[in-house]
Amino acid sequence: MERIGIVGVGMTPISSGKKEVFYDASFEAARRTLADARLDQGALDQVVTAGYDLACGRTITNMYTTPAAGGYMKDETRISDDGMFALAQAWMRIGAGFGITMCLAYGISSEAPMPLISNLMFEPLFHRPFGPYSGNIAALQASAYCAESKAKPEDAALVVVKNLKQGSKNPRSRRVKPVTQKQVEKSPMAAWPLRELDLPSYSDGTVGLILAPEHEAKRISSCPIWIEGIGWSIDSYYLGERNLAELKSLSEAARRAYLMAGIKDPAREIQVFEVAEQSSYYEIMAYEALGLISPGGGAKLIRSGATELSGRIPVNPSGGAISADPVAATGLFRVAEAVLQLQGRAGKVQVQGAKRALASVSSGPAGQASCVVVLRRD
Amino acid sequence: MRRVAIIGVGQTKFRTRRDDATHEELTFEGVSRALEDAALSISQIESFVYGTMDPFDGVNSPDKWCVGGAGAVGKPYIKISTGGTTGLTTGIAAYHQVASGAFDIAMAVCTQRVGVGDDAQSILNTCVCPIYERDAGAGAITVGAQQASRHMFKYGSTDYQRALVSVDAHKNALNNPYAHIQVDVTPEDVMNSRMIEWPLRLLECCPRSDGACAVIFASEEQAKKLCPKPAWVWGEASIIDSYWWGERPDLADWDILSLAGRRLFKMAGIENPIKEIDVAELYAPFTSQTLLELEALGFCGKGESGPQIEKGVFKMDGEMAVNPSGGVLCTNPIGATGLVRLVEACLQVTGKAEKRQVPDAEVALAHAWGGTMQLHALMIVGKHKR
Amino acid sequence: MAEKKEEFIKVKANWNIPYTHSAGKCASHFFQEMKEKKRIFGIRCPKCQRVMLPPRSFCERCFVETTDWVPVKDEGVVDSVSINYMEYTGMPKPPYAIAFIKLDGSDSRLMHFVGGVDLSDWKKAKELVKIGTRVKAVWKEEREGRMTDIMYFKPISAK
Ligand SMILES: [Zn+2]
Repeated sequence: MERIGIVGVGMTPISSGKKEVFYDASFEAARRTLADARLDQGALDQVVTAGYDLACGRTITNMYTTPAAGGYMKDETRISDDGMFALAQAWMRIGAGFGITMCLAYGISSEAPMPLISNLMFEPLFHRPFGPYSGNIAALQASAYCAESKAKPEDAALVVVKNLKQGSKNPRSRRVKPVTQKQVEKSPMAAWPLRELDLPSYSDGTVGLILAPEHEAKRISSCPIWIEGIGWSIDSYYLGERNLAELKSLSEAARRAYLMAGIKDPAREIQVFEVAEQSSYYEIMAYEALGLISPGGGAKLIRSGATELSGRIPVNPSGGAISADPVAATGLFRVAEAVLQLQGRAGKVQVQGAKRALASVSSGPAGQASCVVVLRRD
Repeated sequence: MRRVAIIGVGQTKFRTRRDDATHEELTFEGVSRALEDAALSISQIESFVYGTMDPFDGVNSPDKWCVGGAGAVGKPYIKISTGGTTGLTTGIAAYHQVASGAFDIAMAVCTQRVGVGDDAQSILNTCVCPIYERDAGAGAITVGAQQASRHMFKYGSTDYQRALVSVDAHKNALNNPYAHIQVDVTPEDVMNSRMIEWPLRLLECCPRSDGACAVIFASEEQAKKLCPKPAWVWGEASIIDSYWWGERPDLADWDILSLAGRRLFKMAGIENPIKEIDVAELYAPFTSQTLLELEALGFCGKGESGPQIEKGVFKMDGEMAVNPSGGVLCTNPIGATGLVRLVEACLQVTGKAEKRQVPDAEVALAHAWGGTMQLHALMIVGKHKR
Repeated sequence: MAEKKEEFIKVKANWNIPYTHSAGKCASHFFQEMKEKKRIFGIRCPKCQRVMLPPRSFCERCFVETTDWVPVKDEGVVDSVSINYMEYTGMPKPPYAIAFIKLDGSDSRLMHFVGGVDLSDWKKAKELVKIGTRVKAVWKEEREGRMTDIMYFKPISAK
């Protein structure tokens, strides 16, 4: 397959919503993305979108967003999951012959009660009556992980402190103030052992990327960012049959992406990590799943400061999902942030001299499904 | 881009409700049938694409629940939802996964249980803009009824011509053991059935069906090794129109489908559709849509579909067989329906369609539409490589 | 257009769609046993021999149909737990504790409430329902053949 590059990035501001129509948000993100690539809509060969219908309160939301994203009369498809899965499908569609591509994810959290929307993901027979949703299932996972690894709430609080310190510097953040460890430990208990600040910050936000096969990418951009490796995987639906203390689909997705990119030691070969954390504990678990440290070592890694902006392996310099979680777009926002890092355009959260970056996302309860992409600049 | 073949298809019997199975059990059934057809084990499938239309099943993102039934635990798995086209865009997604070289064997799986919801129309209504249009209470039937009245007005098509579409579909469905509605009807039965949304009557409208189906795609190299009689993919296309119905130039003409058709025929090397295509499985949950689709895809001239239907051009023994399966009019598990069209197209070109086999069928077209007349997906398969 | 700032209008919409979900052969039998006899059954995979709970008609790992019903106890151990304190539209009233419980005789864990103890203060509650706690089902008198026929699992040590 010909190499495929990212040649344009565009994002709407992150917001609490309740004002804009997401039709307009798709349009705004698409316009910014096209402007970034100095292309007009006519240059697009196809549009691939991602979003969740139930969160938006409409079925077939691509009816609404795809034309707004430049897709009118074009070839299109739509992934009903996080935008990173749309990136994967767009990557294959280009491999099968498509040209310049708009990949866009619309994250809308403000129009529906998100915990209930999440609760409706559980089937009605065995799970739904007990009120599970993404937050309390992340809590279950956290308690299982702590029991196995001896990680402590203080360690998770360090993740929150780190990510909100970054988020406070990044204009694309919903939680805009840095916090101290004490403040985290005093924030309201959401679902024990998770406090409010341990969980992502539901937001609205739309993000677009323009992808192109190598021969076009080099013509469009002076610094295309290449998709060097990509992998995705899913674990069992039945939480009662999974080892909740590990992120199996994430490690499998990473294994596939590393294999494709030829990466053996991610902590040395990759300079920036953008990980859509489902909770503070999840980020610590992700260190292990992504192979940055051996199993059980996640807590030690956050304590060491290695994943800070100035550390050896910066994780979430953007502030991550704890700073802003536009559900369904959160993963594709991570990819966009990673692209800005590699192009030296990340402003106050820039990691110096990064050549290679990783972005990841999980969707479904307790990280059931995951996607990992490895990006690099020439 | 690599050449791709379809090496196995499977479908469940479609019914109003399948109370004997959960959602994931239904998925398992459809997937198992496709594996049997291909004589493969689940471990040979490298990647999965799951298609369904939320929220008919009463579960948000039922793909997550059904992963076990699909046999995809631990594997790559992607969820597609594009409205009525979902089934076919799911097939197209699996096709791209193989055509790109990312995988050698990929499976498209669709399950839908329209019977779970009390009221499919109120769900369909939610695709309409809540700010401007939803209060009007438009459902999918509105689409078919608007097209019917406009086509009658512009081209003079008649209630009788549409009734013949229903009669032919019901006759074909009698020969398809998987079809949901299996009754013989006369033109009089159709024209005397209850008025649903003028000008469409009950026997001009599809049922709501539960069921699952699956299609296995393979690279040329794998297909040669694994399958003596594959169906070869000749081409595909998807397209999207404006969200706003009011922007369609004329509801009697499906211009966006014509455009997608031209792209498809170019890719598949088709110059004279009615001569070169033997079977067309058209997504027509309402009789009126068969008329518009035949014209939009160039199987007859504008306004000629009605008279051609009266002449029997699109019957089983006509010039080109339309919907030998009985079509969407007799079976509609919405998000799976597009893939059922592809299943039937494959069965026809591989000579496995049993009692409903079109003799010597070599090239077949599968079609689906979705949204409010807004989306289309198309694929052409052939007995021989192109 | 007028220069003055206009209010952003919000339009309310509500998805209130009644659904009727099929439990299927397998779960129907499972619920019947709960309703009539207050018994819990798992189902065994003929290939990997796992006793699955909740029971399903096939094993996703081996991709074969499951066959044998296996009785499991209505007692077991909390394997993971969380306790909810936030209230959300359409969801149970807090506080409530969700746990995955490994019932004696099962190879998988069942999701259910842990209850019958005071959950109002999480500091105390987390000790009462913590991982490793042995719990027993508290059944409803009027049962209808649903998971909620068991009100909750109660820690055995609790009075
Ligand atoms: Zn098994």
